[in-house]
Order: sequence, then C-alpha cells, then structure tokens
Amino acid sequence: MRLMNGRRLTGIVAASATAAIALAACSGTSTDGPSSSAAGSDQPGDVAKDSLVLAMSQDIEGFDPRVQPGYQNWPADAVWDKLVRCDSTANLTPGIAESWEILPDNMGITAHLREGLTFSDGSVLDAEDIKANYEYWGAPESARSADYADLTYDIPDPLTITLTWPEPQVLINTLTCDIPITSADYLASGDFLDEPLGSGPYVIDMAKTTVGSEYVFTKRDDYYDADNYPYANLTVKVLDNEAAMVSALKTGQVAGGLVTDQSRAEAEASGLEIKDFQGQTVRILLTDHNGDVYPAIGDVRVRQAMNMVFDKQAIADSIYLGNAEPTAQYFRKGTDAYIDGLEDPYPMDIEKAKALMAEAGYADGFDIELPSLDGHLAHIMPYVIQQLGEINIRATEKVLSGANAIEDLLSGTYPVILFELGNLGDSTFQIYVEDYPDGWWNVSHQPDEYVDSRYEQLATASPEEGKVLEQEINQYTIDNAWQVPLVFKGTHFAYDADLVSVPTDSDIEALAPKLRDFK
Amino acid sequence: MLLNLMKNLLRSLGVLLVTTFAGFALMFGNATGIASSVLGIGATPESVQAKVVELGLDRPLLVQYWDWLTSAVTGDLGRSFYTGQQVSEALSQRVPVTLSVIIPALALTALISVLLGVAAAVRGGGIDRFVQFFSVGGTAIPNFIIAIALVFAFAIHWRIFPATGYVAFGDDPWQWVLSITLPMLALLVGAVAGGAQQFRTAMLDTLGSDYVRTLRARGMKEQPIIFQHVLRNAAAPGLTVVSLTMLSLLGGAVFIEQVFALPGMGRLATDAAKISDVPMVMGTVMVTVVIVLVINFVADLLIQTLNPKARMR
Repeated sequence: MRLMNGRRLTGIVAASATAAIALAACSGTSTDGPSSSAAGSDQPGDVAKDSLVLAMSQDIEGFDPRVQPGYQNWPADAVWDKLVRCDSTANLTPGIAESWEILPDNMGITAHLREGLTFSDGSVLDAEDIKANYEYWGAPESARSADYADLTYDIPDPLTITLTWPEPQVLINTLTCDIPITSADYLASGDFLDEPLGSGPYVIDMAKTTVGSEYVFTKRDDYYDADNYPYANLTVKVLDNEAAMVSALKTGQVAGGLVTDQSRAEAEASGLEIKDFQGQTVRILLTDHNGDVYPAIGDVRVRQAMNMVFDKQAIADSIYLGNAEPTAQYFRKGTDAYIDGLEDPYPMDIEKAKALMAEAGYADGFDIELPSLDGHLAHIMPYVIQQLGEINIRATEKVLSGANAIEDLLSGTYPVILFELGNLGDSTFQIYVEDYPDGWWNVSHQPDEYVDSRYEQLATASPEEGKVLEQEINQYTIDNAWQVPLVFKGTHFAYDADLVSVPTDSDIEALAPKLRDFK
Repeated sequence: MLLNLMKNLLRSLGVLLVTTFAGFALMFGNATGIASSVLGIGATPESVQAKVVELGLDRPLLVQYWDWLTSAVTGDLGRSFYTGQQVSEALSQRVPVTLSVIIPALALTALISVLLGVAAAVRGGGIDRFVQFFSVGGTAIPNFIIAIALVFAFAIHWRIFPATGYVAFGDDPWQWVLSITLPMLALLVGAVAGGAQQFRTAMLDTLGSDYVRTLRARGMKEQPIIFQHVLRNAAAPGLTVVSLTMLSLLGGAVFIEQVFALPGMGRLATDAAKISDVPMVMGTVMVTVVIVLVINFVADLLIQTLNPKARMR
C-alpha cells in the first residue's frame, strides 16, 4: 500500500495557520468614522443584519484558491463553496454536493451535485468544474500535488462525479472537503488571480476592495444556503497590528476580531464578548527519536526527563495569564485520540529528572538549539531555556526569519521545537501531521513500526476500532515522550454582542469562527 | 540653471538604476526558499522546483533584472509571487494613501518649522527654550507611541477621529480629512521637532553674517532684514532639511500605517520584504526612490530659485 501521501489535507492549512499565529462593528464600509458606525446607531441590531464588518489579524495570500488558509479566512468562506464541507470534527456535511457515498476502503467518493447551482458570474456549476479544480490542485507546481495528482475521475452525468485514489485514504474526509471550487473556464483563463469567482454565499466587490487591507462582499440571494448567512453586506478588514485591532473593536469600527492573551482582559473590560478557543497545544516536539542529530534525544530517559522540569500550572497562570490549561496530552479534548482521565505521567520533579539524565549518561547535559519564528515565542522561550538548564541542557534560541523561516523550521535541522501548535478536531489528521513519517511537523521523518502500522490500519478500521488505534498511538507517544506537552491554549475572538452573535463553532482548527457561525 | 537641472535628472536616473539593481541583487540566490514560502507548508521538492521555474527564479541575476527593468519601463511591474496581484495595481491603491498622509505632513512640517525656527531665532527667550525643549522631546518619543496616545485620546475617549482605516478623498472628502488627521499628527511631531531646530540654527547663523550687520548699520528695519534677506539665505539649509525629512516620514509611515491600519505603501513594502516577494519589493523600492528623487529635485529647484548663488555651483 502506498504510504499516506504527505502533503495533503485541510490541515496543511491548519498547520500553516497555526504557524502564522505563532508568528505574529458592524458598519458599512471603510468609510466608517465613528459617527457612521453601527455602534453609534440607534438600531444597531438592524444595521448589523445589513452589514457585518470583521477584522482579520493577518491577510490572505491573494485569490488563488490553492493557497487559501483556513484560519479566519472569511473572504474564502464568502466567495467559494466546496464539494462537501467538514465540520469541526472532520465529518462531512453537504456543500455543492447534497449527497455522497464514500467508496469501499476509503478509495474515493461519489458526489451528487445540487441542481441549478451557478457561479457568481452566472455560469452553471457542474461536475466538469469539480474535476478541473481537483486537477488544478494536483498540478506539479501545487504544494498539494502529491495528494491529488493520481486521482481518476468518472463523470456519468453533469451532476455526478466519482473521485478515485489509487490507494485507500486514511484522511478521505479532509481530502475531499478541502478544495474551494471555482469555474473551470475561469481557472483556465488565469483571471482568478485578479478577482475570485465562486459559487459561495457572497460575491466580492472589487471596486470597494483594497487587497491587503479591506475586502468587501455582497450577498448572493440565490445561494442555496442563504439563510445561514444573514448579512447582506460583508466587509473584512486586515488589522494585523494589535493596537489597531483593539482600537477598532472598542470604537465599533469592526464587530469582531481575534485579540491576544494580553488584550483579552482589556477587550472584555470594554464590554466586548469573548469567545475562547483552545485550538493549540503549547509543546516541545522531540522528533529525533533515533538521536541522529542529538544523540541524547534518542534516549527515552532524556526525553522523559525533559518532561519533568516544567511547572505547567505556572505556565498557564503566569505566562498565558490564566488563558491556558495544563495538559499531559497534545491531542484536543474530545477527539478520538484523547485519553480521558489520564494523569500526567511526568509531574514536575527536578530531582527525578536529574536522576534520569544521569542514568542515561547525560548528567552533564548537552547543547541544543531551539528555533523560533521571528522571536514569536519571546513570552515563553526564556522560561523553557531556564528550566531545561535545571538538568544541564544548554538550550539557545535560534531565531528564524524571512522567506526561508518555515522551510528551515521544518527541515529537520532543528529536531527539538518549542511551538504553539494546532491541535485539530480530527485527531487522525494530527497523528499524520505530527507522528507519521510523512507528516511535516514530524520534522525528523523517522519511521516507527508501532505508530505507522496503527495509522495505516485506520484506513479500513471501523470508528470504534479507529478510536482504539488512535488512543494506542497517543499512549505510545506519551510513554516514549515524543513531545513535552505543556498547556492547552487558544485564540480569543472578541465581538460586540449588540452587533453579531456567534452561537456555533464549526472550525476544525478551533482557532476562529467560520463565516457560517456568525448570526 | 537648465544645465544643472539636466545634470540632476541624469544623476537621478543613475541613482534609480543602481538602487533597483542593488535591491534585486540582495534578494537573488534564494530561489528555493522563496518558492517554498510561496507554496507553504507541505510543499514537495518537486513542486518547489516547478515553482522556481514558474517564477523564473532559475535564471541568472542579470537576465532576471533586465527582464524586470524592460517590463518596468513599459509599466508592467509584474505580479506578486504570493498574491498574484498586479504590482502596479497594488501600488496605485497604496501609494496615494501614504502620500495622503506624508505630503500634508511635509507641508505642515515646513510651515511650522519655519515659523517656530524664525520665532526662536529672532525672539529668543521663552519661545526659544520651548522650541529647544520641543525638539528634544519630539525627537525622543517614537512616533508610534504618539500615535497610540492620539488614538486613545481622540478616537477612543473623545471619538472625534476614526481609530483605524482610510477613506479616499474621492469617496468622501470630509472622512478623508478625518482619517488622515491622526496619522499625520503622529508623524508631524517628530518631523517638526527636527525641522524647527534646524531652521532656528540656520536663521541664527545667517543673522550673525556680516551682510546682516551691514544692513542693520545702514538703518534698515528688522522686519525686511529678516523676511527679505535672512530667511531667503536660511532657506537653503532649511529646504535641505525638509527634503531629508521626507525620508524619515516615509520610514515613520511604516509604523504609523500599522497602528492606524492604513493600506499604505509602508505596510506593503515591509510585508513584501519579510517574505522576499521580489516583484512587490522592487515596485515599492522603485516608487520610494522616485518619490525621494522628486522631492530632492523640487528642493534643489526651489533653492536655486531662492538663492542665485546656488545656480552657480
């Protein structure tokens, strides 16, 4: 069986988004001054249903449907629809396809498209459009070419398409729900770089849009799920400066946006509602299980000792200002892999850690480099370095920046990585990303018979069997100390409850609401 | 004078070529890094290589620069590696925003600096001490601190001005004024602090000149001496300072645009530079150099107009 090809999935987006995080009013349009904002309106509720203004804390990378992040990407949610959608735990829900069947052994999917769907330019959406988009993602210059290049297509009629992979796919759901659909003709024209075209609930207004700063949309009343998108007008502003974000929220220029741990209390004190997400686990990845780069890391006793030098409650209380929760597992609560009731096998015990180091022959410690992207871990890095020093591990921060930063981080040069990394609603996918040899966060890419065999069994396992397999993998990685899980933390979405409500969570990354969550 | 202008033009063209080539060369040699970054996490070596070829980064430096240069001459600055947006389109949206803040700030800097500098030099006493205190204080406080203070007072507390955002003049002139006022004030403080001190010094130097003593000895009144003679001669160093202020305003705009979430060129340039978005970086470099050259050119022209001696150099 071909190993689960690496670079697939929704989660590329998830991991990218999380990395990006680490790096770093309902009213009309950009013309809002405070006097014209909904916050100052006599009837804010009515205005809010007319128009929704959101703030993204980072920009999207243009309109190429192939490079859209999942993280707070409301412009993408607005313009594009998908063949099927994934909910917050990667279960498929209807999208362009109103029904579907997964092929035996997770070899593919047969999707039955809705009748009468059109793109925002009026052209009809059919199965050929679906095929063209998946082919686009499978093209050689696509980062996801390995995921989709080998797909075969069967289109018995314009409203039915079967996608078939050559091998069983463990992550069939995320593979099929990940692709924004644009028109085949538009894709061929190349014009999609200048203006996005989709069959989603909104159409972009390029005349009012300033790329990189503000994206303006108008609702499509003929969208099949229009009731789930109550706002007639949508504006998404890019506020990548925290001071600007907080100012805009407090003055009602935007209805909602993500704020940092440091600004959460200020936002709450000013009357904004806060929706907390816990989509990240702060941890140290120890991927060099064989000790190829750092021989000491190849010894399980050293990895276990590294787990014993941190006061996780203090991290949660002091470094994350109470917005975090100590954890012994890196998988998200409630996922298949998460083990309920597991006690921390490595409570803080410096003396025991020193004894383990001595037993392993590393009483005098060793030197390691801890990479960070643009110094974004300045709040926790000094503490981690200090605590590792307690067992004579002499860690130094290596700041990575520029265009090569992510590539360097994932190159395997630094097999010990401190990161605020996403914990996904789909733990199967997280196993793939972090524990399977092809996973990009398993930067050392070292195979492991126990984990790999169980992961591969997931392709044909029943849900009950799958849960057992995933928990076995989780327990194994805990026992072998493949990571040093510290705390669950997450993002904070601040919003004005007079202008918008956020009653649901449908983000598989659990980092921000999706557009369909705003009511 | 015409010859001087021609020389200046040729010099400016040379500066433009050297600067843009230097910018290109500094980013050269990182083809796979750029391609990986464009593709994002999970890119395979094969897709990275395909991207390198697609972006044309596998070609020699001089070939890439020549292609960029010949296209730029025709107005085609290429597309962003990351967003696919036309660089010329991005610049046409972003440059007016930055200029909307910088040009009024520059004009007010010149005006206020002259007034304060002349008053400090001529009157001395309290106004002189104020100018010196303001110069030290205004230079010492970073403009983004001033910006945050202005937002807190005038946008959050009193709600007179918008906290963030920009409104084009063509969309709503009054909202445009409101949207640029706080960013402009944040830039103005530091610029005036430096400019007023320079004008004061230039005025004092000129007031101590022999010809001023002669004019006074001949019984000429103080007002014509200052406004017809001293100020004219002090204008040369003052205008040079104003033109240099443009550079600091462009630099300061990077921070101000972030605090006020202005869709200006500063943010575009820094964002592009961080990720080696070569076409976008080159576009912003070119525009920045052109703006600086134009300001210097105009300053030279004014100096030569005000001071005939300058035309002889």
